[in-house]
Amino acid sequence: MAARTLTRRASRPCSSAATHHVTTAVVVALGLALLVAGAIWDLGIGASGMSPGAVLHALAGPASSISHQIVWTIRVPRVLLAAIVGGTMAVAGVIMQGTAANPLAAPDIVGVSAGAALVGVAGTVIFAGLGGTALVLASIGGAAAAAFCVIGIAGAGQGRTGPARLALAGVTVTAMLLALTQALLLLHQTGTAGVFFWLVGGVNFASWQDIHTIAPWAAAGMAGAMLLARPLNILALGEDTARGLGLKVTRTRILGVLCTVCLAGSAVAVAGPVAFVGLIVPHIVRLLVGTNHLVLIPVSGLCGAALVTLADVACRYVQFPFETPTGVVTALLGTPFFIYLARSQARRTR
Amino acid sequence: MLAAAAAAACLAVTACGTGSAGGAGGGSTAGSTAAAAAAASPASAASPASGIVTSDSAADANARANLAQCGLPARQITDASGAVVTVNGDPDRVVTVQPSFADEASLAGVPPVGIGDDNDPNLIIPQIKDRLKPYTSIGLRQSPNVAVIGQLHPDLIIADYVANVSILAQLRAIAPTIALLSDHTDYRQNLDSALNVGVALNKCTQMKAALAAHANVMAKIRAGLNSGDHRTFIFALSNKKNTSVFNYQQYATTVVSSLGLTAAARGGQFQAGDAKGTSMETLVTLNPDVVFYANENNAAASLLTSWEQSPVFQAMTAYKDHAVYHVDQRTWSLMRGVTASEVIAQQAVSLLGGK
Repeated sequence: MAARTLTRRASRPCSSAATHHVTTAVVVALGLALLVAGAIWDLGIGASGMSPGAVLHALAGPASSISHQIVWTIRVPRVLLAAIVGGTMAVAGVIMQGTAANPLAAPDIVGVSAGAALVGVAGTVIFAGLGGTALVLASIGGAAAAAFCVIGIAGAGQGRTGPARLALAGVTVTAMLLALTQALLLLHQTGTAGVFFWLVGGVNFASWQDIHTIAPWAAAGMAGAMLLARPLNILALGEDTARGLGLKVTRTRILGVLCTVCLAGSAVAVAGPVAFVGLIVPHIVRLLVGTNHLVLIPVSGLCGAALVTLADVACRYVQFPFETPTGVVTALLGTPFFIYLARSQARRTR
Repeated sequence: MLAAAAAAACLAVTACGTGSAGGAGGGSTAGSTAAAAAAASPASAASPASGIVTSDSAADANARANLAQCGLPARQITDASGAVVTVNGDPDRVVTVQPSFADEASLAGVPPVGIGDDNDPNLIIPQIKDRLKPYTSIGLRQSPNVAVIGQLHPDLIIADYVANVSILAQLRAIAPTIALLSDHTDYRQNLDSALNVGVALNKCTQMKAALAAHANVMAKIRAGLNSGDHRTFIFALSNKKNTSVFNYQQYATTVVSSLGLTAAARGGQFQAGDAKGTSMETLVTLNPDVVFYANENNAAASLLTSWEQSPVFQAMTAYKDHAVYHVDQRTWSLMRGVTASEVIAQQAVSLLGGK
């Protein structure tokens, strides 16, 4: 059923192929336009109140000017990190859904974000010296442990689990991880004032160091995702068919999970668990461009980047000039979307 | 899901600065919420920059009214929740949830038998600890262990109105419990709490003497600073993931303001109270003359520490004037109370230099 859901648009008649290509081109153009518009808008917001013209001037202006420093040191890395985190979380969602053949699979749902967040909190309140690559590696480890735990409980590794079963296992493991995270916060009350903020997820305090930290992992994850595109297309035909076509299903699934935790774990380590991007974006993009992962992955990455960039713009207006976590906006968008998705899946199952 | 829960917690943390009316307990407590709003709200104004706040200038109506109960064998104390709590005799088995209340009880000559110290005796600064007797930790300040408190057989519990509002009924089932102001309050409110502690312990004379001595100490500390020093300052708390600037109504800020300096974090959004997640750009735009900051857990590294390497941060007046000071988190953001205010003030004057 799940595989059918993910592949039903792949069987479109040849006569609609041209229309499909046009739709894809329009989606890419729209995604690019939203990303560029969001980036320009985001660059223009800040406590120092520079006009759009001043921002442009500062971008190209002398390096010694304070405006130049503010734009290049604070605003540019923030916009870049928003785009990278949005892109990686969206692609992580695509890979997870393809790997589990399950439309409800997403880093938030299968505990990947919660596992990485638990490690992130521990890295702040217990291992305060942990940072940079070490923290990313630890977060990826936490994400991987949570993901394999959920997959094991739900039996998704064998591709025989339904959406509800995976979501239930994910909710259970996420609840456990959330309880552990809260216990850590409760037991270390003297050092947790800012952690609540981070736990909502956001790029509010981005720096070039964050970009340097996440870039190799994001690049590796994206490359891995593209390499998995063809195997995931075959897997989407159903496990038996995939085996018949010579696909090493178990290896593909393991690589898919590793790719997901690499993308999502590194994003959470740097920006916190920005919610629901990995759920919302792949679904909307799949509806628009179909299920071919060679197209779905890059377009989802583009749209995820646009979504988080625009969410970061929106969160700036909540209590300007103070910071509101970007994840508040994505959570507000994602929660009703998840409910809609779960209800529509339930209707299909009936 | 994780983010949604965290978002709720984040908002709750922000909201708890304003508190909510506490429920009245049973036993020796009579319900009354008339004074709750006034008692729980942040100070209506910052401590005056021109002078030291003393018990004489205490603004809290409850504290003033409660002073009339001094010396009575059964004292009717209106606490911050608006509840009227009857405290009989001279309590000598006192449990305090906040170290600031332990400080004040020990100043009155009644060191507590149980204290909330987050299971870490090092939480309490040495200047307070030196006056305490061996005590039992009751665990976390936010959620103390009620069973441990019960086993101590206290005859008075001093709870934090903001942090412990949800467990007041449980505490009042154990012993008379007064909920006072410490967490998310200012210097003036802490002095008012000290007065209330004195009344509850039936040690009004000792507490008034302690507060008078405190006023003298603060005056001497203040005299160490140039009288014309009204530089703007902020106090910030930072960890690896966030930096919060405390506004002009927060405890450490009001203590430093009482020395004559001017809190920069006021007006606009800062007027709404409490610490705010603040970007480097907002901080630089605020451009205070002096920055005091603490790292959570007193860690060596934090977001703000990393900002110090940025040319944007280095364009700030405080940086250019070598007036960015790293201070101790326990003292500046966790302790509060009479002794902590003296330590904060002394450290501030030492760092700022003076006459």
